Amino acid sequence: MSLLSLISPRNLRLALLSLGALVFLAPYIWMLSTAAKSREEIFSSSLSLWPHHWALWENLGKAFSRVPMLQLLFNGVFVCALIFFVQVVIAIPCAYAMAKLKFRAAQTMMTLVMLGLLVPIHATALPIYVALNKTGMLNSYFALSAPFFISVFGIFLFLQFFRAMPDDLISAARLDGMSEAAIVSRVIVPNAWPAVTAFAIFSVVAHWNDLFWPLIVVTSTERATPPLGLLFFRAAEAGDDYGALMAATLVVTLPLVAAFLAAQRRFIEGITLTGLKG
Amino acid sequence: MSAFSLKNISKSYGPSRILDDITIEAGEGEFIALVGPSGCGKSTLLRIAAGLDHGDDGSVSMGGRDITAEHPADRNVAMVFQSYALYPHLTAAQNIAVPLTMRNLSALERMPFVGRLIPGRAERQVAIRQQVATTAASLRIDHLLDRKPGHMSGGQRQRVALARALVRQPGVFLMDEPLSNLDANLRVHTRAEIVELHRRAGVPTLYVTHDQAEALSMADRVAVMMGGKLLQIDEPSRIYDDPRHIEVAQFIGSPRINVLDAVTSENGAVVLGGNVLVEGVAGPVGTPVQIAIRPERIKLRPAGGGGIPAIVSRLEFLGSEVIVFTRIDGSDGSFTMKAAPQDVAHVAAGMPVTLEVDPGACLVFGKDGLRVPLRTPIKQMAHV
Repeated sequence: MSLLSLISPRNLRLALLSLGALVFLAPYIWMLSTAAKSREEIFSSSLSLWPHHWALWENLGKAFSRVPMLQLLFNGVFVCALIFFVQVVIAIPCAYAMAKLKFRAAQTMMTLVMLGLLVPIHATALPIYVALNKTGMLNSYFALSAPFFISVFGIFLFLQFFRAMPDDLISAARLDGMSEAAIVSRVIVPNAWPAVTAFAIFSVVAHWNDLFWPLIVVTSTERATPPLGLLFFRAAEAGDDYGALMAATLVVTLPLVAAFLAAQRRFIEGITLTGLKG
Repeated sequence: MSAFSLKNISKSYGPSRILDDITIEAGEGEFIALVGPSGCGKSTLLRIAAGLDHGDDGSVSMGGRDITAEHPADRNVAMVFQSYALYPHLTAAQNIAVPLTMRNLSALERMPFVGRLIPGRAERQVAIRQQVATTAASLRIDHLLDRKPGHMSGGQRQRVALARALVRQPGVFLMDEPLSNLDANLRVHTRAEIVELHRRAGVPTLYVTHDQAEALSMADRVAVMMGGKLLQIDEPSRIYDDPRHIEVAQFIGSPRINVLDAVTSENGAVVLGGNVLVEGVAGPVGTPVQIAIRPERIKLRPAGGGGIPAIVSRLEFLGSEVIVFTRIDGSDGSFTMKAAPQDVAHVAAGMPVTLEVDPGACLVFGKDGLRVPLRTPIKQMAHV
């Protein structure tokens, strides 16, 4: 087989994609490599991907002992779960009303949702911070999650999904004797799982990885989320111990990577469902 | 007193009037078919009857009780939708049970876990389960009860939807084109079944369809709607033989009724190809009219006899009958007729023939589309 026969459009595409994947994966791979290296090796002049001495367990030990890693992980899980739960409880009835009920303010609400999509958290961060400070609620789970309770993105996503649900189904539910609340809980929610899953992905990924907001409202390690914990670690404890820092990063990123690997198909379905990429 | 009635219902969306003063009264156990082309307002009328939509004017009443302002859930109406509208996440049994669960159990009893603690709930649930089983058996869907709608064929879903409507013993049945998503064979079969179910339940039924054959074959009375107006409501045979409006005549019957523009002459006669088709049309000489003749009321005769000379343009073989399309000599009019295959075995396209119209077959309509009464009794068609 000659070398020329390998150059088919398909192979070219694959090569290009692999190259792209490598570029995106490189920092993560380097992180894994550093997490397994000893301190001396990290600062040696030679660059190697594969560590000479395995120091992974030692680094992980340092990561767990120098910062309350379990506390950080728990904070992350709790805040993400709280945010996601309240977002869904608010967004689903709201989106249902906008998609399927006829009322005069529907158009105005739609405009407000679109406007809401345009305003980033950074624009409203300062007033919200001031309010939380005045009420003495900084350094709390509430401060970490409350600004995200109403997700216009969630409303928008559910709205698109509910619009595609047949009107006949809702008419049938009304004739069967359901109130609007019963329609939402008994007909809409059980059939909205694909949309809920898709939204869960966006919401959990965004808030697990968020550093901006926790940095503003949290100053104690007790309430720190994982990314903020990493920052504290770097600033206070580790200094130049990059091996331990990378090991901590590995622990923090692992839940999302594991979730992705376990539910890869759902992730991709969810993203194609919303028509959003990247 | 009628069992279910819609009185003077009107509705407009902006400037367009989609329902114009419609009154339909259904007697106890009566089956009324609402038929008309798409967009004639028949589905909207049905939604108003169900309470899913509201008219600008008019009233809805059931068994003498005015229910115009009542919520759909309180009306005890059952509706079968074209799309079946089964709950995709529930099994057939659960789907059928929903109307009963919502009616017979309180909100607290319907709650998971908590509901179990309420006394009397278990007995009521057993009763519901029994009713579901009985209804399912009557529709022969017992074997489907554990399946979800996604794992059923269209016909099976349709039956589950019927069962869900039947199980609650409603005050009125509303059906919105329940057969139009089935294939042709199953449709004819299910027609008979729905009529049978209706007869057994004895509940007044409003049945919306765009298929005139369905309406004629199933209903006690047929209501023909066009452009938001109720043109005629009558027994199927009267709708077919004695239409009040040209549009009713044209909509009902297949192949379509033959319609010719004509002008009256002496004596209110309409003459075509030297033949008097009809006499005694009211109005002065020269009144423009439309003549309508059913295809099966025209006979094909060999050329040269007394009748209307025409040329065969096309034949359509349908098995038990043949549709013959002809062009009338010396006119741009055309006639369609139905004939038995053995009678037209020798006929081919391009052949000259003579057409004979049955006496009394001509329906005369004025320019406004309404039937024009005849002054004189119908006579044998005469050659002049």
